[in-house]
Amino acid sequence: MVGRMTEACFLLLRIDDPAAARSWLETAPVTTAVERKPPPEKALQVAFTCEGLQALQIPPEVIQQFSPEFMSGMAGEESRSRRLGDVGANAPSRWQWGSAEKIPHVLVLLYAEPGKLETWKQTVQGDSWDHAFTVLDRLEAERLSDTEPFGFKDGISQPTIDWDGERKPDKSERLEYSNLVTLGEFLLGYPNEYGKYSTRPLVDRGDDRTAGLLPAEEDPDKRDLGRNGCYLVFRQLAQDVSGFWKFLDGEARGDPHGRTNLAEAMVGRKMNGEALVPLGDRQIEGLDPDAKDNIRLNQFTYEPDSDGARCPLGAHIRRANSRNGDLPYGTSGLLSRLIRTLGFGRKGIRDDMVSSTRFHRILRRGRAYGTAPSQERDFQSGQADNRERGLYFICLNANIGRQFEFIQNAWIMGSKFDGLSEESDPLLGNRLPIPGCPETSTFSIPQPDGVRRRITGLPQFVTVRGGAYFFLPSIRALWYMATQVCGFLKVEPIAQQSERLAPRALFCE
Amino acid sequence: MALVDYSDVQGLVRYGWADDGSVLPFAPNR
Repeated sequence: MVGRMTEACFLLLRIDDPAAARSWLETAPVTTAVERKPPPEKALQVAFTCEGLQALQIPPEVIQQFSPEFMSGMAGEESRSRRLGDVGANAPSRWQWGSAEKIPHVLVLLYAEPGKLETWKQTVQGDSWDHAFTVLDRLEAERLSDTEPFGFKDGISQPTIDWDGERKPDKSERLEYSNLVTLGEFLLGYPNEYGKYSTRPLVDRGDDRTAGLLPAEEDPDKRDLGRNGCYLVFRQLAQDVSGFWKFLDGEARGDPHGRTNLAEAMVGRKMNGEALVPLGDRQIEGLDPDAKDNIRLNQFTYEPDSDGARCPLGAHIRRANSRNGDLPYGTSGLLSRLIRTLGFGRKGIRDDMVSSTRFHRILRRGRAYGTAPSQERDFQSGQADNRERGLYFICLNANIGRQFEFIQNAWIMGSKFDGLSEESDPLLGNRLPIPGCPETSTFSIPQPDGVRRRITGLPQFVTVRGGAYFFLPSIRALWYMATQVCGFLKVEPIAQQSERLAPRALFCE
Repeated sequence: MALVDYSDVQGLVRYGWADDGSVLPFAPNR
């Protein structure tokens, strides 16, 4: 089942005229999370890069309070590119957008029910659009499907956000894997899994005379520009669907069953989304039992498969979320916790090689692009085409470094993940040597007899075409950005100001 | 009282499992 807004388009903009851009922002019909009946037919979201905030003339002392990763940008430092795997064919210098003069200022995300996207684009653009922006790129998403371009069911596993604050952050360990994650891991201005507040700008009360920014929880004298906003990571990932299936076909020597098995081992799920490991008896916190297929597809951990015999240790979904608690499996009682804390009691060489997952969750909101997802049979019957297809990877998090970058660097690109060697992610790896590991193009599959089957010479299946870090502001923050100008304030008659102290009414459809 | 003022959050309420909320930035599950 897929959502009703099956059409989507992402516009990457450069700001030509900041005053016109602010004018557009003041009237943009940005969609909020308020429930409406009937449900809306279309939606608009707006996000900004650090360069975009500068172009919008947000005061430098405000911009400097954003997180270092956001300020640097996805392609801002060679070391960051190296850590993210953005080297070789993935290097920013080869990107279609996202580096040098092609860094976007604004990301406009448009969604609509079938047949309504073009009209929605025209409606959103408004009078000041042409004067305000140059369209750097127009990223058209494929009609929404629950299958990603390689042919696997996608979007199955997402963290559940603790919107109501049921989960109290504290300093004690979480022994069991939970899918319920504190609000502050995704929305700025709330306590995260550490019980702390992620980095975002706070402004003096006197500097916010129009937007009505909310007080910062940890410093009520300040106004919180980040609250109810988050950081948005966008990467355009081209998928070599034909190359993927041809390689697997060669490894399986033309056996369709073997080809599919190998693909499923690399992904870590069956093509229909089912887990490769048996479902557990314990109800995982944060899995809604009433949600369609959620229990059937997600009530599992890797505890009964610690050697990876069912789901290889290096499989994509195992790298992306190893579904563990704060301590290795089997650490349950007070005594065993004490022993672990003191550094004793390791059962195996791989203990402690994967961090607790609750500090490294992301909310994925990607969409596929290119032609409709191809079935593997297309490539066997010679019907494959060479048109580019892939994924607009979009994720939300409150701490880019600890969430997206950690997952991408330590888990996806890491050649030592979970005690492995000479491997990176079988889908996303760039196959290039990294310091201390000259070979990363291997994928190993533990066998029941204890011997690992090693697949060598994996080609690169996914290539980065572009990317950027954005700030997705709250409605109040959007209003601040529309009205606050570096060095002075857009002065309006007092009567108008008081009307606009409720900016949400203007932004909601 | 809700912890979050949803009218201040970009996104779309989730009207049903795997409904529009699965594709838009924020989707509080009601």
